[in-house]
Amino acid sequence: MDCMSNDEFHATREAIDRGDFNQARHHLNNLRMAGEDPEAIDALFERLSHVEGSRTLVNSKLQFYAITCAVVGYCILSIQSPNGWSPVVWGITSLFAIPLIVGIFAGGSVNSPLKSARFWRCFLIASIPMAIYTLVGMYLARSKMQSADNSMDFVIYLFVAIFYGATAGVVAGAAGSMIHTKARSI
Amino acid sequence: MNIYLHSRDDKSQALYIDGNLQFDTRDEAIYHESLALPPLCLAKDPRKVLICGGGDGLALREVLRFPGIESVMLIDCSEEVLDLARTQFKEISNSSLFDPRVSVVVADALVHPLEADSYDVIICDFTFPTTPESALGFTVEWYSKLKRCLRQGGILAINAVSPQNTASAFACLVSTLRASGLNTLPYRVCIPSFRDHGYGAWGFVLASHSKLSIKSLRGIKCPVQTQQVALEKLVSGAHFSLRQRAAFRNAPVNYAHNPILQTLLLDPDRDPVPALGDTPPAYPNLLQQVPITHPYHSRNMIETLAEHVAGSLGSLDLRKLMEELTVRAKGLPQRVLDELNELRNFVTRPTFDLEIWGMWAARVFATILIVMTIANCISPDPAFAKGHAGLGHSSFSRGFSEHATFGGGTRTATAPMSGNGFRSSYGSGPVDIYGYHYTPRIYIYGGYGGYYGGYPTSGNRGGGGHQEMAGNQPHKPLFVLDDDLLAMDNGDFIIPLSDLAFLVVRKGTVSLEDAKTGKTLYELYAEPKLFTNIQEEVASQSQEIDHEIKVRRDWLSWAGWTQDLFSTVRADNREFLNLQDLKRRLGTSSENLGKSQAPQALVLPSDAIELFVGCQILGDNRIAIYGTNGKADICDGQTLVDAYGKKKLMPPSLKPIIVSILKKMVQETEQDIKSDSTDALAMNADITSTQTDLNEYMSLQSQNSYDPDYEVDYGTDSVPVGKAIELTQQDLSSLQSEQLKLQLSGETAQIRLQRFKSALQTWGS
Repeated sequence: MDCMSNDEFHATREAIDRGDFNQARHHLNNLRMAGEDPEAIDALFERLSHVEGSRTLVNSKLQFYAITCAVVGYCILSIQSPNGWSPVVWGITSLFAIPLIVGIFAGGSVNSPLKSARFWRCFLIASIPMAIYTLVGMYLARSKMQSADNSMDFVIYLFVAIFYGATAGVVAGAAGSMIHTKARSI
Repeated sequence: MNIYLHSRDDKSQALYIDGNLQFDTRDEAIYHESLALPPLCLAKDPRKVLICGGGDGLALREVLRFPGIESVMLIDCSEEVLDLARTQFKEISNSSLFDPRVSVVVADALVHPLEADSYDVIICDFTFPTTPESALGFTVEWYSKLKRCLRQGGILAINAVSPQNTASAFACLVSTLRASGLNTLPYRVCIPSFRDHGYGAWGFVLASHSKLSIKSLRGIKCPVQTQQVALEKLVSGAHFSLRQRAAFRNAPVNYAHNPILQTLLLDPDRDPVPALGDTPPAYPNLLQQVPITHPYHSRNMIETLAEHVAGSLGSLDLRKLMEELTVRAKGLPQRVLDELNELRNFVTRPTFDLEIWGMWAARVFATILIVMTIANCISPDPAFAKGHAGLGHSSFSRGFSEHATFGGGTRTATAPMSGNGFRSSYGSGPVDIYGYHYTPRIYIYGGYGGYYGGYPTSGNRGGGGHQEMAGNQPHKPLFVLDDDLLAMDNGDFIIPLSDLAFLVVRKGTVSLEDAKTGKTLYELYAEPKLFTNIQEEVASQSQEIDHEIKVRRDWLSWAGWTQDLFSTVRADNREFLNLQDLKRRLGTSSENLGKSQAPQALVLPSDAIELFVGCQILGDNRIAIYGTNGKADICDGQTLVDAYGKKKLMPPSLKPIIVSILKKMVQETEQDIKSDSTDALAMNADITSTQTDLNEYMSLQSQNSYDPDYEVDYGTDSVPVGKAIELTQQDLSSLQSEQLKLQLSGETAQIRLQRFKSALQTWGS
């Protein structure tokens, strides 16, 4: 392997890391034409595909539906406290039903073969509204009572919001990673 | 023609025409040797060569390398490409365009006149046909023209298309050459740069008057050394399957007047054998024809970009677009205009767009959520219409039945529970609704159901002496309903009178208890108003407790499961349970309280004032203590006389108890008067200030009498001076009314103080 090929390998890696996939593909072509080690080239191609795949294309309409479902769902739930809905109904709705629907929509919106890419997209779309809903709900519930000890309130808000958000996100992510609808093309 | 020359750091170059790669200097020799050398090798004594296209001079380079070449005519329509060949490609083309044997013609080869039967080798190196015009170089008519120019024994070589990606189009070209009356020999070559651009293996076709076969290639011998192609191995690229060969025979022919090549390039999967008929062609791979206009673009990238075309078009405002289009199209024929109008009507037809509704619904929801959140942060209760009556600290005034203000008055907004009485000390001492914990005090008295001991009062028990009450027990107050009303752990209610005595209210009865001995001194007249007031107070505070329970239940429904992690939540949960316990106990106490059996309220003599329920100070400072039957025992501090004038034994502790109550009353009334006095001073200051404002407004009004709308500051508002005067007069009137009330209250308190002092003097002596 000569010095120029070394530079090409280096340039390929740099291009992948900074997300310039066209440039990376070009360097890989150069390497291939120069007759460099096919295994090394294939490995770089695989890395390129992985990184490129993680930058997913998104069907904005389905994603909009997913976000709308999450927002509307949690808005409806916020009409009354979890206790008002009864813990069982609230738990099933907020931690399972809504994330499931969100996951189905959001999973379909991600045009990526990578399950992880779909999972994280669904996770974010479900977990952020759930965490916000939890934070607002907890804050409102807490503001109606004046406790003698408010020292840990922020930590409790954060802990519960993260826990509920993560739970909803995992459910949505699991649902979304199993759903894969290819984005529409001509 | 869009020409792009990409020069790399390693000094290699690549030429793109209309986005399609023409050659890459790193492997261009494969292409040009494969195109130019086979016809030269197979032609019989090649001397005169015609090159159509190939302005880059690279095919010409190969031709000129071949021995025996006397003249070459190169016809290319692109001056730009020829310039590049003379400059940028001069080195790699071995300055082929400057060779004296070469004559260059800048013209369209299709229309340029060519001498018949004059060329030994003809090479067609046209660009990939992306338009109907460029596809004319692949028609029967053109090949027939070349056939006439080709000598016997000569070879025509054409740069075709990919037999791998566009098999039917390749077959069409072979078929077209055959239709022109030439024998053909197709073959393919793998060119790395073409493959990397997604073009697939590239095809060439040799054609001749005489028969050409694979055997011709197998025995090919090239007199010049090749750079990148082993010509003897070209034969491997000339092998095609039976089906492919059948396709070469049966594929449709591309005529200038009936072009089919473009269709087949758009639909490579089309079976080239069947006739096309009238069925409209389908173009599933239309994307293949989207030109690549940048050297870094790949076919996948084009397809990926095209996937977003739908999204991009979706963002267009079609209605507006159609309006503009119809306005600008007025000069077009009427038929076109009609079509456009019809399309506009279709596009602008109102439809129920679920997406738009969903978007607006989400916006409305989000707005409501944000507004309610902000409103609730600013004013938590009214925002959700969950306001509740607060609990004021209205005093029982030592069990006064007539002057009590609790239970029915308008309450001010309550302060939320902020003490920690229900979190840690509940059960160990009294706690009020605010959660504040009070110093524990033990009350000792007999439990209900035991002997109603004490001193018999007139009418209820005749005679009898001082008897020990059976079953005296210590009881703890659980909840402070008001300053002077305690709910006990056993369900009774206590009204503390002084350190020496208290009232026990239960089961429709009221008894005066000696705090030191725990003895019941009197069964008092059960004033109905007292019971009503207590019931109302209990109901009111139960409502408060219900509210506190609810907000805690809501909170714990969020965070209750974290109580093992956070001590705060654990304490919240304990508070919640204690409140539930208190609520239950208050319910029991309310039932235990019962109703008074007394028929009516006591009538207070005009010269008497109430000391506590069932006990009055008469005008001569004697004390009247009303028994359960409504008859009073009169006590002057020395003797006790019943309603019938019969003297009774006075309990020894009664006098100190009355004195202690009187002392406390004096003390508290003095404090009230002092407080009233402070309030009166503040009130006077307010009145003075308001009067000053009024005078100032009136002065301003007189100074600006010409302008009735002259505005002055009133509070934080600016109002006309007349309005300001009117409002200030109302304020002044209101203040004066309150001052009057305060004055009356003060006077009453003074009278009461005098009476208490007087009674204390009598009883204290």
